[in-house]
Parts: sequence; C-alpha cells; structure tokens
Amino acid sequence: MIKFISCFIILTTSTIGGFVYAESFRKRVKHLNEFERALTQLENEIEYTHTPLPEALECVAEKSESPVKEIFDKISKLLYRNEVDSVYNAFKKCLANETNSLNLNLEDINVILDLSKSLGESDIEGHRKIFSLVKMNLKKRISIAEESMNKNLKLYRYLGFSIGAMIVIVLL
Amino acid sequence: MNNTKEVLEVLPEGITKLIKGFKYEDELQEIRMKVNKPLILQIGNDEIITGYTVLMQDIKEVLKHISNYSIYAFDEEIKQGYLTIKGGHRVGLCGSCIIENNKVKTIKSLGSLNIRVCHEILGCSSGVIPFIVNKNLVSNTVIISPPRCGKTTLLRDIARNLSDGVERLGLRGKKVCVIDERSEISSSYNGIPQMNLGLRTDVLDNCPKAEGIMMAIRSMAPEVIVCDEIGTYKDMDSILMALNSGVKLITTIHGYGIEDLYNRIVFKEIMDNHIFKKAVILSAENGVGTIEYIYDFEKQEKQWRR
Repeated sequence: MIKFISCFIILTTSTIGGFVYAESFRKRVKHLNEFERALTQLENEIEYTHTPLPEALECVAEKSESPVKEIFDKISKLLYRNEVDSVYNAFKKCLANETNSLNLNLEDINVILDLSKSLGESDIEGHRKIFSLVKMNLKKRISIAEESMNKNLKLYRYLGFSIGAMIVIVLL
Repeated sequence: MNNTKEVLEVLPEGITKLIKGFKYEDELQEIRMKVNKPLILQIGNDEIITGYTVLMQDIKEVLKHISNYSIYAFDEEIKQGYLTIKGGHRVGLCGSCIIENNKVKTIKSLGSLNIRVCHEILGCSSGVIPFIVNKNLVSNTVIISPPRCGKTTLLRDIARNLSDGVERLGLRGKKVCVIDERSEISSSYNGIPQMNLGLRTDVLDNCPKAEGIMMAIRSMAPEVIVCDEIGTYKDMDSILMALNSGVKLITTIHGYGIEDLYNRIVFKEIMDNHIFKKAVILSAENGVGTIEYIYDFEKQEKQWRR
C-alpha cells in the first residue's frame, strides 16, 4: 500500500514539475506581449499628450497586468522622488528586482533596457524612432519566444510525466 | 508671499543646504547658476556671491529634476529658453542653441540656469481697480512696464479682483479667461493654476495668445480676457476680433510710457480703433511695482500720477 502511494506521489510531482516548467515558456510570451502593449501605450502618452515620464508610466501601470504593472509603478515612483540619476538606472533597478516574477531571459530584458537608455532625452520625433526600433526588436523576441513555446510546451509536459513514470518503473 | 519649497526640491542637496543656511531664505528672489562659477543668490535686494562653485553635474541634475526626466514634454518651452516648475517658478536656460530652419530647435549643453522665484502679491491691484472699473463695467486696459517691474504680478491680481468682484466698488464678479502663453500669470502645473486667480477664472495654459483668445471666446464665454505681453500682428487681429464680440481685455506690453503704444507700428491699428480706455504705467522707482501714472485715453490725460 505504502509503495503504491509513494509511486503515485512521485508520478504526480514530476508531472506537475513538467507542467510548471512548460508554463514558463507560455508566461514568457505573455509577459513579452504585455510589455509590447504597455510600450505602445507609453508611446501614445508621450506622443499625443507629451506627458512627462513619471506620470506617463503611472498611467501605463494602471492599465497593465502584473508583473508589468508593478515594474512600471516602481519606476514611476523612483522618478517622482528623484531617487535615481537616470531613467536607465530606474529601469535597471526595477527589472532586476522583479526577475523572479518575470519569465524573461537576459536578451528580452536588454531590449527593454535599450529603450530606457534614450527615454526622455530627445524630442517627440526622436522618441518615435526609438519606439519603432524597440517594438521591432520586441516583435522578434516575441516570435522567437512563441516558437520555443510551441516546441517546448508539450515536450516538457510529457517529459515530466515520463520521468516520473520511469522512476516508478525503476523503483518497482 | 514666497514659496521656496518647490525650488529647493529641484536643487542638488549641497545647494539646498547652503540656501537653508541663510537667514532670509523666504525672501529668495533668484538663484543663478553658471558652470565653474560661484553660485549667486538674490535675496531681497541683496546679491550674495556664495563660496559654492557650480559644477556641470549640478546643472544636469537640476535639469533632470525640473523636466521630470522628460525633455520631450517641455520641448516647446525649452525652445523659448525657459521652463515653469511646480509652484510657478521660472527656470531660464542658457547654452548652445541648435538651429533648424532659422529657428531654435533646442538648447544643448546648458551652461547656466537662472531660477526665478515666483511672487504672488495678493491685493497689489486694489489701488488700480477703481480706475479701470466703472461701476460694473470693466475698461479695456493696458499695463505698460519695463521688465521686472511687477507687470505680471499686477495683471494676475487684477484678474483675481475682477473674477472675485469688488463689493465696495459695486463690481460683481466677472467671468475671466486667462490666456497664459508662457505659464507666467497662472503658473499652471499640470493644468492647475498655482496662483489665486479668482473664483470665475478659466485658464488656457501654454496657449498662443492669438489662438487662445478665439478659443476662449468660442468655448468659455468670458466677459474679460486677460493676457500678457501682446506684440505681434496676429495678436492684434485676434484682439480686434475679440472686442467685436463685446469681450473686455486686460493686457500688458513692454515699455516705459504710453508713447510706446503710439510709436510702435504694430499697435497702430488698435490705437486707431481706440481699443484701450485706460493705461497703467509701472516703474521700479520706489521699488518693484511702483505705479507711475494712470492714463485715460478718452480724456487724453493722466488720471492719476505718482
């Protein structure tokens, strides 16, 4: 009986583990998409109403989903309080704090950091150029992420179950 | 009344401490910063040259704070060489100008800043109001003054008085619309006037006068329009149009006397049309805001003189 129960536990945990790991691929796509949406909104705030960054970021945060919401909110607060010496540093600090809840890899984050390097330092025309460049890069990242999601989602789900089953067989 | 808190917030820590060390911090008028030169303060009537040498970094820090890290949002203002910060204070910018199509596109590598602390003197127009108001009617008035003699301060207080109404003169509150091309009158921050402009005052902030006057008439149905420093042909056209629709106008020009109105060709049309009924001439003879004389255009004589 005990044997049966422990086998069952091993099988379930490894299956769940596989599902959770597979989920990270989906979350990456989701987070990248959310960033793309948020940046488009930020672009509109800047281009249409010329809203200063702290306020614009706050507005974007209000309409975004977690964890993008928290990140933009924190950046906005840092800028309001004049606690950082540049927008880049504010982004860097906040993104570093949120790496646990963000399922992005280093290259994804660099695309967003690239934007922050020139955010707020030129006129509207300059911003238009930066945003179009960053959005193009972000689209590339999204298509890569989608590809790897399609490839890996099922793979890891099955793999989790298979590994569990393998251990159970060996133990039996 | 001075409010230096907002000014101190944008300054680097070192300078804030230094200024707080002075006794008459409240009377702070100007802070002048130039790279590699000592910081100069204007407190009351005294110019104080401090021992603090301003560094490039200080200027950059101030600029970041005043622009909220967002140069693009103040693009138009930087082109004109100044920014208005919270509390209505004015920061003048100097550096090398970038020119495009014969116009200043932006100012880069800033070398000096001048922070002018904003003054609001409630009640400074009480002496003038009886001359420009006739029972319940407001006369079209022009304030003529050299720079730094308190013309904007006076204009602001006139707007407040007209908007609130003056009971002892039998003046009921008027609907006033302030066209504030350079955020000087209302010192708006995020669209909210930082100065007391009265109960019935609407403000079009940052709006070119010529367009603002027309917009205000169409949208807000004002009885009095207040604007600062008229001087272009476009301004004159819109003023004539505004007066045709029965709105009264209070405005200012740079100058030393009513001759300036007659001599400058740009004012010819409005002088020919006898637009202005009264003129208030300011100087700094007995301190900022001295009223030299008040001129009545209908009687062609000085109604009151110092």
